[in-house]
Amino acid sequence: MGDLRIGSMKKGGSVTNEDLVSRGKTSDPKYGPVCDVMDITNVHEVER
Amino acid sequence: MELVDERRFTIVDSAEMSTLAFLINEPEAGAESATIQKLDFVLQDTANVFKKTFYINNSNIQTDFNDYNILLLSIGKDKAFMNMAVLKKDELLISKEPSNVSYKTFKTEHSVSYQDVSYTPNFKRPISIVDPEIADEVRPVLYFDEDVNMVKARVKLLPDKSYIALEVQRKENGAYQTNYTICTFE
Repeated sequence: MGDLRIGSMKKGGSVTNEDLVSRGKTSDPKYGPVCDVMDITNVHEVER
Repeated sequence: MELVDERRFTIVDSAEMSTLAFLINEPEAGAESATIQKLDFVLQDTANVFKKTFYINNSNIQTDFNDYNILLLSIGKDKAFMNMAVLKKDELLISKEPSNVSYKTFKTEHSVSYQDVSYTPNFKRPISIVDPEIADEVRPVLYFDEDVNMVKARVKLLPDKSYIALEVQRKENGAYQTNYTICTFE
């Protein structure tokens, strides 16, 4: 049986919830906020 | 399934990406690390646009005004984007810039069968493993090993394949930080 090698988390990366912006909003909470995935995968995307 | 009263939010995936959402649970008293729980979703598929509505079980939209900490992992062919988010009553706050996760190998030609991998879980520092090929979490099975008198965990993995390992920690200021790395089974 082999080993599961999990490297140092420091070699990967990290993200925090300290710098957030609104990416989805609704005036009717019944439907919940909607967010386009392009907004969350484009590193150059900024606020709408 | 029709969502009636659940707290929810919707992510619109492109054909190339698949987003997973995890609820971040409050760490136990005195602990820094948080466990994460994959959120169920309802999928609407229209013309290669995948509209996923994630919902939080047992959270009623009429009576629950809590904020929920969310981890979002959008997985593509050879890269993924990680965001943290807060679900408020009627608003979704997401990282200003996502973190990039790159991986190269899925599996080699000689690696064709899954193998059982046993390990000793650290409950004070829980780590989640995501398979980017199927865009889903690899869930361990816990069992009690009488030979060593310990709780062990077992997962099924493919050798020489990239998996994403995640851990969520609460910082001293109360914010959450998700660390990740690529791991392989050799």
